[in-house]
Amino acid sequence: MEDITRISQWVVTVAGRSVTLNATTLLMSWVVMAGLVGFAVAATRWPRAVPGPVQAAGELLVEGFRDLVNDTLGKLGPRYFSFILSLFVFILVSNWLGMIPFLEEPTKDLNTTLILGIVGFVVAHVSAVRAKGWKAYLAQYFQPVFIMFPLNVIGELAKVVSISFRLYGNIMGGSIIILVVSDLVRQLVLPPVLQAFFGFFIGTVQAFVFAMLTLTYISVAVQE
Amino acid sequence: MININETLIIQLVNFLLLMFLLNRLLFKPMLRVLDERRERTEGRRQAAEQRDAQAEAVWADYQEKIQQARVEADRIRSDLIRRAEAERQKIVEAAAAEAEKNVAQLRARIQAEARDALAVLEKDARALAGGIAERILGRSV
Repeated sequence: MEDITRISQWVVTVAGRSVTLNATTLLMSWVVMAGLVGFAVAATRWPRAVPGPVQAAGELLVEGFRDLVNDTLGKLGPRYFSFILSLFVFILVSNWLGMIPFLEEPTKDLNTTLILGIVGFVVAHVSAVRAKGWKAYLAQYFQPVFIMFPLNVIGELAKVVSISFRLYGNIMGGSIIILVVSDLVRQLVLPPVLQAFFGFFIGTVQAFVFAMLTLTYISVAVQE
Repeated sequence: MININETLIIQLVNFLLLMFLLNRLLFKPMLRVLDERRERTEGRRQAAEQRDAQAEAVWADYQEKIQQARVEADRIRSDLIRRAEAERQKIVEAAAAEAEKNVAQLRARIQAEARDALAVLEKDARALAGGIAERILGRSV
């Protein structure tokens, strides 16, 4: 039970300044990245007209998201397609990682979910500036009346907080429930149903929700 | 584990690196394969549609020719029937005329023979009657 509050960290000194890094989170992220790169290589190494199972899975994913992003963003779709799909697969595989013994979800760390939320926020706002221009972009914060400016800014910042904490809370909550249940049954019985529910079902749903919300934020931001 | 630290920056680098790698290794090659397949499928679909249209035209042409042949066959059959009917009529009429002529000839011959037979009979009857009368009278008549 104490495992849930323990964070293994690396403390390194960079330019005379102490830097703290969450070791498990980074290691698990690299595992996810290695797995995804391995999948990418396996799916595209020998492209065939009649695809094998790995190529078919890759094609299904790429084609499904390409259509989804293009339907949402129209002609701007291809520009954001790789970002949205990368976001989805990274969070998806990160969430699934907890189902494998001795591995943990990188999305259980707020650093991961927060930076993904911030990246989505930055992309959406940069896109808005590119689509509308600075004047129109800034003017929308003063709508419908001037005094709404602080509320509009808070509303935008709240998006980052909500999207990041939603993912973090779901994955962390699932891990805590699995740990508590495992502890209660004295580890005699593995709770595979809980693992499957939180890891697979909630993990998939949350990854999709995160990607779709980011896509929606971009879509709203670039609308004239 | 709400402990925001420099891990955030490393995770940013990790994500950007992953996005770059996936774009190079997975998304672009996959999109290329999908586009190629779509082009190939589209080309084959168009070729199939073209062949389908050609087949339709050939079928329509065939149907038209079949229809024309049927009409022609009907016309020839009707013509043949009409001519055969006329021929039959002519043959029947000729046969009837021939039969009539034969009957008339036969009738004339029978009448002639009957007349001859009657003359012979009359002559024989006279001779017989003369003979009987001579015998009864006992003298020459």
